[in-house]
Amino acid sequence: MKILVVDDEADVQPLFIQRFRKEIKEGEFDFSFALSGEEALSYLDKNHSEVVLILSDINMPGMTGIELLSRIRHAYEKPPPVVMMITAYGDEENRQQAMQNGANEFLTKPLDFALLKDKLKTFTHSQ
Amino acid sequence: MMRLLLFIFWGFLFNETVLAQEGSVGVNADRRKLALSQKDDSSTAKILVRLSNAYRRNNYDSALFYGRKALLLSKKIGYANGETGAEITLEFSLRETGNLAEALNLQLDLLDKARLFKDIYLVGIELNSIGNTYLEMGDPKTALEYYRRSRNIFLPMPDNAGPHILRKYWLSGYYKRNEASNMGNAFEKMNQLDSALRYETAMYLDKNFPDDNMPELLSRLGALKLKLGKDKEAMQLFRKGIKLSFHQNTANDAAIIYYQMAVLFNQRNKADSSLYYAHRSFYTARSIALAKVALDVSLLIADLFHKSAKLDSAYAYQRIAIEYKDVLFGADKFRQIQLVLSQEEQRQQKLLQAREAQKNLYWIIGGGAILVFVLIILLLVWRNNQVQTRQTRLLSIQKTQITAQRDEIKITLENLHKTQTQLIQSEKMASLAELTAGVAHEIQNPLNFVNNFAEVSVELLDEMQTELKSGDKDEAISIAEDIKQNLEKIRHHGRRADGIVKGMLQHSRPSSNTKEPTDINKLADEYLRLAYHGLRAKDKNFNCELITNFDEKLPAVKVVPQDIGRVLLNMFTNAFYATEQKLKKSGPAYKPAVEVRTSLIANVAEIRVRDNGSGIPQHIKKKIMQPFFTTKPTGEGTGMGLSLSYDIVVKGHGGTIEVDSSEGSYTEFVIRLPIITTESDKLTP
Repeated sequence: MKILVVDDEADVQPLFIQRFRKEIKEGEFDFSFALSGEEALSYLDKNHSEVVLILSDINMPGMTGIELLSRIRHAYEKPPPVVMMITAYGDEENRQQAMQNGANEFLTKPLDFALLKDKLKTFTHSQ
Repeated sequence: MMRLLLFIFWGFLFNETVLAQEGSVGVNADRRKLALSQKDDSSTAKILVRLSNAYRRNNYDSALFYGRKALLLSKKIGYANGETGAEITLEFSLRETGNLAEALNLQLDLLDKARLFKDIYLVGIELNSIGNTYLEMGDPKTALEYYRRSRNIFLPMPDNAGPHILRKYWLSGYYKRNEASNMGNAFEKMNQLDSALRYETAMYLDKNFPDDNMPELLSRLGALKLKLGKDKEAMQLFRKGIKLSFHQNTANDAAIIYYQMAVLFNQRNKADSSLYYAHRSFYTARSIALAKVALDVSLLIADLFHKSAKLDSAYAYQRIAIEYKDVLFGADKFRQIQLVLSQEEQRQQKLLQAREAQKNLYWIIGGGAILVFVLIILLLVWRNNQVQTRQTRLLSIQKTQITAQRDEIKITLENLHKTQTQLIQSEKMASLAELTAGVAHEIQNPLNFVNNFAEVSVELLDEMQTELKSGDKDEAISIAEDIKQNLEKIRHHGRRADGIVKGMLQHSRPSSNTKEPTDINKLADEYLRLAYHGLRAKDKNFNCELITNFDEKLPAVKVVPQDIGRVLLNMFTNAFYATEQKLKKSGPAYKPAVEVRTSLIANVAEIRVRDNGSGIPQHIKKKIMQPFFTTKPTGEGTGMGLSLSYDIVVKGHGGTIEVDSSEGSYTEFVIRLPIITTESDKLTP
C-alpha cells in the first residue's frame, strides 16, 4: 500500500521509515514523502493510481494541509484516497474544518505511532 | 485772506477819484446807481465809498456825507472792507474840515486794524494821515516823526510795490514821494527852511513825483520861496499851481495857493491884489468847507480891511475868523483832541500792559510748562523706578517659580525615563507573550523528534540485540547505523529547542547593549518563525507563505542581537497582522505571503520585510513611527513597536528604516544597517 506523507519537516522521513521499518520490510506499506502541499499535488499527478493513503500535516508554509485536502477531494473522484490530517493544534475547530473538507481521520502531534499503525492497517484492510 | 480783501478794497478806494476829477462822469454815474439801488448791500456800500472819495478834494461836506453813510451801512451789514474804506475817506475829510479829534480817532483805529491784518501799506498811509493831523494841531515836530516813519516804510520798496492807486501810481512810489514833501512841509512849519527847501526841491525835480500832488508841492515850494524873499520865483510857482489845480479840479489846492498869493501881494503892499486873491481863496475854501484856509484867509481879509479903514468889513471878517477858529481850535476841539490823545495814551499803555501781561503769561505758561515737564519726567522716572522694582520683584518671584518648575520638570523627566524604561520592558513582555505560543510550538516540534527518535532507537536496539543473537551481523550493523543517525537527530533537535529557549530568554532579558557580530540571516529566520507560530497560536486557522531570500554573502554585522531581533519580530508580527487583516476582508482566494530578503549593498546590510497584506493608508504613514501609535484595537497593541524599532535601528545602530506601502496591496519595510568592520571586528570563519 502506497502511503504519501506530507510534512515540511524533513526529519519526518527517517522517523517514518524507522517507525514502520517492519511493515516496509514486509512490503505492507510503501512510503513516499513530500515537503509541501504543492509537492504532494505534483506527486499525485504522476502517481495517482498508486497512492492509497495520504498523511498530511496541516500547518505548512504555502499550501496548507486543509487546502491540499480540499484539492484532492475536488480533483480525484475515483478512487477516493484516504486522507489523514495531522496537526500540532488539535482543537475542535481544526478537526471540524478538516472533517468538513473530507478528511478521513484527524490526528494530533505528537503522533502516537502505535495508534497510527492500527489506523493505517484498518484502512488497508478495508480497501 | 484779509490781506487779499484789503487789496481788493484798495482798488475801489482810489480808482474813481480821477474820473470824478475829470468831468464828474463817474460821480454822476455812481449817483444814478445809488438812486436806483434800493438794497442795503455791499455794492451800495462800495458806491458810497467811491462817492465819498470822489468828493475828497473838492467838496468835503459831500465826502463826509457819503463817507458816513458808507460807514453806517457797512457796519450794519457787517461789510468789513466797506467799513475800512469808509473810515479812510472819512478821516481824510474830517481832518481837512478841522474835525481833528474824530479824524485822529479813526486814524488810530485804522492803524490798529492795519497792524492787525499786517497790511504794511495801510500802516504807512495811516502814519501819514496821523502826521497830517498833528500838523493841523500845530505840532510839526510830531508830524515830522510820523511822516518819517511812513516814508521809511515805503522808501526801501521799489516804485511799483503795493496796490495801484489813482489809476496811474503804485502805492509805494506815490507815498515815498508824498512823505518827502510832507516832511519838507513840517520842516517849513518848524522854520527849518533849509531842510524844507532841500526836501521840496528834490521832489520838484523828481520826474516821478505824482502829478496829483503837484499843485500842493508848487504851493509849498512857493510858500518857502516867499519866506526866503524870492517873491518872483514864488509867484511863478503859485501861478503854475493854480493852473494845475484848475486842470485837476482840486479846489483845496487852489484855495491855499490863492491865499499864499494874497499873502505875497500883501507883503509887496499891493492891497488890492492881495484882497482879490484873498477873496478868491476865501470863497473857494468856504465852498468846500476848508476851515483852516478859511480861517487864515478871513484873518488876512480882516487885516486888509482894517488897513484900508473899512472897519465894518474888517469886523465882519474878524467874526468869521473867530467862528472858524472856534470850529478848528475851540476849547471843545482841544478837549476832544486831548481826550483822544489821552485815550490813545491809555490804550497804548494798556497795550503795553497787555503785552507785559502776555509776556508774564508766557513766562508763567513757560514756567508752568517746564514745571509740568519736570514733574512728568520725575513721574516717569519714579514710575520707571517703580516698574523696575516691581519687575525685579517679579523676576525674583519668577526665578523662584522657574527653579521650582525646573526641579519639577527634572523629577517629571526622571519619572518619564523610568516610565519609558518600563514601557520598553512591557513592550518586550508583550512581544514575549506573543512569542510564547510560537516558542511552545517551535519547541514542541524538536521535542517530538527527540522523543520519537529516542523511542524508535530503543526499538532498534531491541532489534539489533535480536539480530546479534541470531548472528545476523550485517543487519545489526545496519541497525547500528540507523541508531547513530537517530542519535544525531536527537542531538540536532535538542539543540534546536535549546536555541529557541535561549533566544526567548535573550529577548526577555534587558538589553545588554553590547554589539556583537551577528548572523543576520539566522536571526531573521529565527524570528520569522517565532512570529509566525506566535500568531498561529492565537489564530489556528491562520496560514501564511513564508518566503526567505537570504544573501549568503552577507557578513556578520555588529549589532545588539536581542535589539535587532526585537525589531525583526516587530516587523514580522506587523506583516502577519497585515495579511491577517486582508484575509478577513478578501476571503479564501487571497494567499497571504510574508517575505524576508537580505542583501549586501556596499557596506550596508539590507533587510526587507514585505507582506502582501492590507497596506498602510497614506494618511497614517507619517505617524506609524510615533510612540503609542497603533491601528490595532484597544488592548491589542502597545503602539510602541515601531517607535522602539526606529530608536533601535536609527539611534542605536546608526541605520535607517524606510517604509513603502500601497494600501490594500503590500507593505515593505527596509532596514539598513551599516557594517562597521575593523580588524578586531572581523569574524573568524
